[in-house]
Amino acid sequence: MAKSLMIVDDSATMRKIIMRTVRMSGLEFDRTEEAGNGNEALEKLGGGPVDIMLCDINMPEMSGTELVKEVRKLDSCADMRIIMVSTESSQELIDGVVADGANGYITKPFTPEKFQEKLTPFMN
Amino acid sequence: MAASQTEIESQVIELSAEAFDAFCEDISGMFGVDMECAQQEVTSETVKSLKKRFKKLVAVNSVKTEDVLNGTFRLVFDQGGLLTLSGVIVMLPENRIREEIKRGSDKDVEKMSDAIGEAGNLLIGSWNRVFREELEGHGHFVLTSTFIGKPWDQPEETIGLAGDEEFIFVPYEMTIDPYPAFSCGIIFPKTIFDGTSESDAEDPPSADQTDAEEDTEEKTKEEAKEQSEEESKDKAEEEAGEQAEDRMEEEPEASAEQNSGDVQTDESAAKQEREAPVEAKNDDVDTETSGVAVEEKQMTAAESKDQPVSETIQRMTQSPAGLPGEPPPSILAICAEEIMDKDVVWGSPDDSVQQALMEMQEHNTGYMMIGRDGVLEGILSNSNITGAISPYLRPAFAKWRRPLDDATLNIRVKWIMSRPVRTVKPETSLVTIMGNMCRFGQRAFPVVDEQGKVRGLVTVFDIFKLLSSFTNISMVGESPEAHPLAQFDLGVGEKVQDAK
Repeated sequence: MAKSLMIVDDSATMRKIIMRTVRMSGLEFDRTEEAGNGNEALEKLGGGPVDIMLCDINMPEMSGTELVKEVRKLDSCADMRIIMVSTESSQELIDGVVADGANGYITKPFTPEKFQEKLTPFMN
Repeated sequence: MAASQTEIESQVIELSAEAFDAFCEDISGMFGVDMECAQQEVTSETVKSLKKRFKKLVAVNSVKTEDVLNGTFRLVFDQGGLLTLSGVIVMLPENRIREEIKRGSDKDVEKMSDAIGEAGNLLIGSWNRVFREELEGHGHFVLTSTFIGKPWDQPEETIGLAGDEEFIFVPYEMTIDPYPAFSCGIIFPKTIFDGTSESDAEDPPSADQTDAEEDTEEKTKEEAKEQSEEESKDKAEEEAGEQAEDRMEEEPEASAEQNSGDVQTDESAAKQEREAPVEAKNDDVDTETSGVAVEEKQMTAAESKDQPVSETIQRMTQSPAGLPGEPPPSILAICAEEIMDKDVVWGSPDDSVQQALMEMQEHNTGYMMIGRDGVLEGILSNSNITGAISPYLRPAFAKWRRPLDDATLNIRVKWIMSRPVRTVKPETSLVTIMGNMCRFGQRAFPVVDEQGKVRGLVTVFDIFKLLSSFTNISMVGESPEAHPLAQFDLGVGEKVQDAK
């Protein structure tokens, strides 16, 4: 079944790197969107949810952790899977963001195999 | 017993080497390059001596840490390093990275500032992983700022270093093949190892904050500017995208017209074939695969212009007698080695898409065997390439083209090839090959003998060419042609000729 993906990261370069790495992982999405921070992501989600969101943590305006909390308040995004992608990798932070509603965590730097491993369970 | 300052210092310096090695491995894995580093002699330096070491532009990543290490240390890259790393990260073509390293202009560096910042981020990611695993009590490194420029005349204002302070400097030489080696290193304030809070010691507390604030302010301004540029670019891209889509939709017809009017495409049929469950096990298919390549649908179908090629093949395999023109049943007993193309083209998994395109163009083929020492690891087709490279490489969209579009030509073949590869034996019959093509949605099978040697390649075009002599199906053009490169400007001063 066709899936949609949103990449939320304040760095345009990183968004492109993630997009390319996802493509290299062999996972196929029929719709992909990008957002530069949490507010922009929420605005775009207003137009309709996506299946999977890859989200950075440190972002201006609205951080990734705040975004996760906001998204989980939206009924329309109840089934959305959120994977955090960040250099922040302390166990405390991971536990916290998972408790807030994230479904997984990928640390930077990453590989196509890592995306495949983390996203494949959500592709069906 | 708590470790002494000297013990911590030597342990941290040792771990730094591991962290840089990990960074090299990470970058190599992410971007398909060979990256290595070698630690040089640890020295005691001042801003003045650092200025002598780093005469041109540098990138300085300030990293804050609390716990075993307490304070801020800096990771510095010379001009060659920051341009090489950022170029690799955005996957610029090799010659362009070389040009930028040679030129080394402020403009080039400014253009790459986002990528340079991300390189710092990735570096900290690697460092965090190593230190978390190896250093008991390690908390977390936080990248507080990335300065790009010449900081040595105003070190406090720019990177928070006191002008007269002595630091421990751990220099490295780093190499990303095939680019020239560059220098980088770690600037450790001596107090970072003794547990003294940096804010109480030599490093002014406001320095990083000021940097961070300035950075944030600059970033906000840049973002506003970028946003406005992005918006206009997005609009242009949107228009270009629409044109691209229109063009893609128009292309089959256009190419069909160019050829003879008999060629058509049918993506949905291909998709249906891909998604169809594999019900029958076939001994003639040597390798199972989960990632079947979707080849471009170019076929001859004079008898039914709307009919997908798969249905045509299916009818042929199920009921040869019912074929238009009724070919003799014996034709379907012809085996792979009788119809295969023996001149297969090989490439390495580490080749770039650009190299593969050139090679395929030179041999006018639509498929390339990928492997090392004659061992088949994957197969690369036109459609793999089309899916990987940016449509903005087409001359028609040249004005919207960005470095990231060029970068797609640098993608390594190993990331986009179809693998594992289904193969057939030399003695596999035509009817079986056709059946396999239907079953697996694969339009080309390498022919591999019992020793595992690739003897040739059978494509759907070879089959149609054969069948066309017995049926009223007309065959147009040559069997799988090279990628229509004329549509793409490779941007490296090498315009590739049309495949035709």
